[in-house]
Amino acid sequence: MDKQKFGLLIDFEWCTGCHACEIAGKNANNLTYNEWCIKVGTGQRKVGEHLVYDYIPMPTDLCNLCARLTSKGEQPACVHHCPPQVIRFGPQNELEEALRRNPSQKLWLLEQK
Amino acid sequence: MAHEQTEGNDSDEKIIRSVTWSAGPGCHGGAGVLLTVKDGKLDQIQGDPQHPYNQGSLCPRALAIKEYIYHPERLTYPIRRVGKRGENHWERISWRQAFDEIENRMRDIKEKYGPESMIFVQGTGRDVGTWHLLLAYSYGSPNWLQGGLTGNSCYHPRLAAMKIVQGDYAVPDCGQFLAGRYNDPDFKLPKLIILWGQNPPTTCNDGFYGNWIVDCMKRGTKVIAIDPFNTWTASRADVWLQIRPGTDGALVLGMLNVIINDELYDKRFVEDWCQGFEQLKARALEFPPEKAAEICWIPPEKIVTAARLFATSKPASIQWGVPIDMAPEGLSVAMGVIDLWAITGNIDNPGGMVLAKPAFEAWPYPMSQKAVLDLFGNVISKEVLTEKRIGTQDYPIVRNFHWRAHPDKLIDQIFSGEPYPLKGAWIAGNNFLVNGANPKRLLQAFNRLEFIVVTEMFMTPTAQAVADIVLPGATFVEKEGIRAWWSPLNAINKAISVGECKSDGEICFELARRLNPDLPWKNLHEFFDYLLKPANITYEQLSKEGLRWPEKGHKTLPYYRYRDGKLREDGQPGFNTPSGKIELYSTQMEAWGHDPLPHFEEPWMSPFSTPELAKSYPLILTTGGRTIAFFHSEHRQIKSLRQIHPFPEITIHSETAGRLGIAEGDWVWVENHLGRCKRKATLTDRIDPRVVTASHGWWFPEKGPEELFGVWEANLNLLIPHNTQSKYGFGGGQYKSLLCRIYKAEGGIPGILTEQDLYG
Repeated sequence: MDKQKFGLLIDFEWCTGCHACEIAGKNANNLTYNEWCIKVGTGQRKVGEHLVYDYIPMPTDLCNLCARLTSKGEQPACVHHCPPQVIRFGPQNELEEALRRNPSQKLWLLEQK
Repeated sequence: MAHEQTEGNDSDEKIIRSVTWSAGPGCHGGAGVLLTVKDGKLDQIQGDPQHPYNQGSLCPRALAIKEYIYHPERLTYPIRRVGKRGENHWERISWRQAFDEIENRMRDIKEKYGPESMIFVQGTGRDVGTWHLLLAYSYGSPNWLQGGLTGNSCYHPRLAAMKIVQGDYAVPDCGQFLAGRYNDPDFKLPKLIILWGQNPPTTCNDGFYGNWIVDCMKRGTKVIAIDPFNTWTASRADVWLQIRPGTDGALVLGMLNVIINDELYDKRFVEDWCQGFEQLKARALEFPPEKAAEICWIPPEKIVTAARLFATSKPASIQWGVPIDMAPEGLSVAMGVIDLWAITGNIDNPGGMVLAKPAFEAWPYPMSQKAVLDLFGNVISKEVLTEKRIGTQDYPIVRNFHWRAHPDKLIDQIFSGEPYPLKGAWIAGNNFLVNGANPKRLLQAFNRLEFIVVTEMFMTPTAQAVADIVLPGATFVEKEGIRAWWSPLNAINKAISVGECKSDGEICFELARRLNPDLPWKNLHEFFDYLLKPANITYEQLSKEGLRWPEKGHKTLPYYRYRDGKLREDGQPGFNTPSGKIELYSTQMEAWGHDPLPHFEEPWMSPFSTPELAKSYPLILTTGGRTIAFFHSEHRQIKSLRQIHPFPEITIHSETAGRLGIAEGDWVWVENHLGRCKRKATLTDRIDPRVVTASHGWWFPEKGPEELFGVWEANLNLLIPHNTQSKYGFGGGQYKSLLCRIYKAEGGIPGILTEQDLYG
């Protein structure tokens, strides 16, 4: 039987590139200085005639969806600390539905470890 | 909301609820945090989901607090200089020795020269102000100042302008005065916010959480961005005004012109609550949008669109930044911006410019002469404050509104010795060698002082160069305190101790007590309780509760308080101004011999005011654009923050760089007739080809104390002249608009952290 996947749904329309998720993730997972479980990238897109500059946080292969926290019913560290609240944690079907409603997002699904 | 000393999973674990302020994240603070302590050490920091200010979120600097607190270079015991200043020979002393020596030296100065000969130096709104005042006033000196910052151009010109024009301070309403925040039934979402020289993702200025603007944008608020750079925010704005740095005064007059000409202002509000409209109108008519456009390098139709959009959006507000203060005649520019929200009726209305008062009018960080005298009137006399304080004889605004010594006049006075000599300095929360204009002159000046004490968390170029004694300061995690900037009232709760570090409150209180045996308070808690009297709560109670909101209807909570008589001393409806109205034409400015209306002045150094200079130095340089990684000159030694912003950069248009033979990542000299420094080139097309922008606050902890941590290597202040303050004393300072040329350098800065060091 397939286990339900969980993931992070990231709204890149509103990520302000503050890097709080990077440091929150490092803290929560005791990573060393040159390890990241989520990393902020940049992008741009055209909205009509207009160019909009984006930041896009991207989970790396060190992301375990903060299993230690979520097993206690808490949010992953990046979700908890994001000021514009652009990262959402949840099960695959829920996040896919949210992505359908608002396509300016990126969905990262991870295997349960 | 209870202050929890909850048991964690281990029996040794406890969770302390507190609120940030400096030191640590550095900033003006306000975020609610949960501090997990294990075996007496900070185990983790988390945002407090229940705190209304930040609702669980935190910035990277707060999240990196453990690195800061336990950094190997952290100062953890008092030291005294051995040998000459700057030689880097220090000996460890005990706190007792430190306090004894400081007390003796200060008494000595007081006896020989008078207490006013000792100055008390801070930087921006960190949690040191009240403690400096307590110490300075107990000693008898009125000379507390923001050292090295021309014209006191850090919010104070805007504060002075607000006091003068409308009687009270105001901030954009983002529901921050309501316990229910955006869901409070009294709140109304702003239809539009002008971001004037302020970029919310990078900075929380003046007690305002930057992300509140983003919260509003997410909910549908439109934005007009006034910024030389096409930031994340500007690219989302309905209108982006790519302004020539330093010309904000022309833009505001151009916008006033459009709104008044098109009769888009709130006629009823102007009639009922403003005076001087006809005079403002006459002034504004001198500045059609075409004139403003030519000066500001903004297409006139954009100025018209922006002005109309602002005036027709109800409600609307303006979030403004330090470029307003630092514009030439910054106070005058601020007056113009205030007029924009005043004539459109956006004062103390939901979603507009809400009047800002500290909760209960408890002033743990006093921000007016009245507040200072209310707090300390029994410790220092009004006469000393208005007569002996440096700058009061030169500038009516300094005399009548302000409570600080004038920073530019003070340095002049160190050199001249007139009207009285200056002999000693107490410094905390200030690194003027990195951040002050013409820093080499500041170094000369301070080296004339006989006795200097610096409180710091890390050895900085300033402490290294001029301190005789360095005291180890505590971060916010290690101290008790109070915060009410603005609401609610918060307790800062101590979670841990580190080494022998003490808070500024503890340090200054001990010395105040020694220097003034008649001090009305026996200990720091008694002083806290005194600060909290208007809130009718003790520190012990507040510490347990965590935070407290004033009750609904309290005069420090919104809205429309000018209708209800909540603003004036006499309880009458109206504003806290001499006429009771918003003074678009200021009677006070007139009485002081100043222009009662906003006006524009060209920057001191520009292609138009100094065309000869511009031939050699053709690029307009603007400095100090904020980065989320650092707070001014702090955090350069915190690895995870330095990874976010690794190098002292300068941002150049690709075409301009191409013409100069500069490629991405090249090290360049940035130079004008006053000096030069090195920067690493970042290329972009998001800036005007005639303008370059660079961040400030750069020094290199990794370089070592003997070379003052490389303080001159990337220091833009070497290009910035001193004494360019506004003729009012307030505002100005050429940080935001000067001239330079750029050319490729032979190599980079030796000995600074490389990409290999940072990313491995």
